[in-house]
Amino acid sequence: MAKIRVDKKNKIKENRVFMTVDYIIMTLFSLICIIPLINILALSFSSPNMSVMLLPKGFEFYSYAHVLQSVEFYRSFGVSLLITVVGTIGSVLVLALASYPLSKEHFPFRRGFMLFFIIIMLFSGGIVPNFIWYKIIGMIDSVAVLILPNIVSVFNLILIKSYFEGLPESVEEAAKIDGAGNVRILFSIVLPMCVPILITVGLFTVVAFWNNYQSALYYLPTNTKLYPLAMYILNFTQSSAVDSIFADPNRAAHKSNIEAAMIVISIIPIVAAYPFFLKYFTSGITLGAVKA
Amino acid sequence: MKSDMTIKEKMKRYGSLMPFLIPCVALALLFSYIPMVGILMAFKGKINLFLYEPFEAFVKAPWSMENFAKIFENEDFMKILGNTLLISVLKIAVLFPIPIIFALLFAEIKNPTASKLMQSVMYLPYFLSWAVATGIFMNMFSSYGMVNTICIKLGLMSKDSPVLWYQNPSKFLFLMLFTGGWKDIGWSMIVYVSAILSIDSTYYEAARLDGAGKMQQIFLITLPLIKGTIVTMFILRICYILDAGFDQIFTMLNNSTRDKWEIIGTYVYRVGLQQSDYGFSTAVGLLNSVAALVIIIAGNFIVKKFSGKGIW
Repeated sequence: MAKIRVDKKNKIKENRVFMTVDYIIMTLFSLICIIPLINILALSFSSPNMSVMLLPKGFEFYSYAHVLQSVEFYRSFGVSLLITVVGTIGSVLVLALASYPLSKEHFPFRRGFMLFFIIIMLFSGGIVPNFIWYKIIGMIDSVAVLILPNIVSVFNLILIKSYFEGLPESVEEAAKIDGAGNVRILFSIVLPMCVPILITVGLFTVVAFWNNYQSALYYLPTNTKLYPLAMYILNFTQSSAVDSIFADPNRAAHKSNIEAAMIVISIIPIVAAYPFFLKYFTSGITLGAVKA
Repeated sequence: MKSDMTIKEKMKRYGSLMPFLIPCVALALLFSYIPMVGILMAFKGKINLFLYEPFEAFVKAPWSMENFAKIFENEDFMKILGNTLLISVLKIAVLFPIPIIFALLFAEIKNPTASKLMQSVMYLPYFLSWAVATGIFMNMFSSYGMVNTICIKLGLMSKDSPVLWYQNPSKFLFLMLFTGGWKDIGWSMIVYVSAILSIDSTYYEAARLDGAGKMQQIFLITLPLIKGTIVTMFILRICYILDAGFDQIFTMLNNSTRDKWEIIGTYVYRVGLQQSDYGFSTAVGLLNSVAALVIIIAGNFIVKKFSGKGIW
């Protein structure tokens, strides 16, 4: 009896130690995740050449004033906004349209079509063949090259398709008997039932477009005016302070702070939409995981 | 009854849905399939874009295997292949187990406020662009950035010789793992957390009645039950071993580190699009994608064997 009681006491103690260590590790990790963001926020409000930790040092608005007066910055922000809005709407629409027939078990050549799409998920010509082809069709250095090649995401296509497959076919049958056409059935009956998956995929796509810098890096070799924000920031951080854009010594001194201000502004849309992300992404990824 | 429908019957029933596929198929053809023709460039000699229009230059160039011969004579290639594999293997060795351990720890946190707060903080980095993430860390790890300031305060570094982390090739792997972990660990935990939360809670109740502590519960109940998920995720991860993460590595490289730490992706970009050595770059890219494809198909085959469900 006594031994069991000692055992039990030990267990309680062991569990308490475990939970304490658990909370410490998870709290530390959470802090590591958030501290870099706090640091960059503090840096964006600081004077140049200060060892900034979590609070601004030599508080000033110079960097923000500078960024918000920069025509190039507004233009990049605008390009990002444009490709994100157009790209996301286009992508979700195109993928939803294609997923609908592919979700029908007896759609003719269904397996063939799926193979056709899966191949491009696994294999691509590579950046040079793409570059040459886009050059031939006149898309290099245009805004279209930032949008059109990124519309078809096979991963998202599969997500939407599996959601469609889970819908009861009886509703559609009833509408068909009532004489509704395919387009009407899809848009007024099927899609309204699929809002959760469409929002999930839409949010994935928003993030992908907003964060994409590779398209601009590869396919905008000379037209830096069309750089979306991510590419603009990358280009800015990689340029050295002796470059001509830093002719003004005050601006050159503020390079890190200006960078920080740009980064903060570029993150704002993501942070603003973040509560939605949390709500839909977690359900979306579990859906994807179940599928996979 | 339905399963033996002929193509004709299928067409009659669903053929009218065919037009819905047109935009998606057209985009895939235009932006993915047609450019694949350009792979032929790998089998061509010098393509002269200064004299001709791209298409004409491509047709005029003579057939040759010199690009592939060049790859294996090239010392650079062996180095970047080694870098790619080293970075990938390190990422798997360090960044694959951590999300599993953290998921086990996170699932034990039952306080809803704490768990929600931690969750929202841990996922956030995943949603930032690598361009932004590296921008943040380049400042944090700059000569008088936060990290050096802390090191100096702790006496780990002398004030007069601060470490230039991003300019120092010997710090590259550490930064790669640290920033890569920062961005992806939280997000990678989701799969495991949801696998753990779907375990029937009666197992744990029974174990508690039998006097099992938290550690025993983890090792004797949770881990065995999520083993399938772990193995599947591991094989999938191995499938992408040739992808060291262009997005991340490209933003990290600079003139001081490029020579030492270039990977296949950044090399293909630099040689192909910056130095316009189209044929050679395409050949390197082609070898890489064919090898990657073979690995992925093999991996999918194994996953299917193991869990009954593949990636597709």
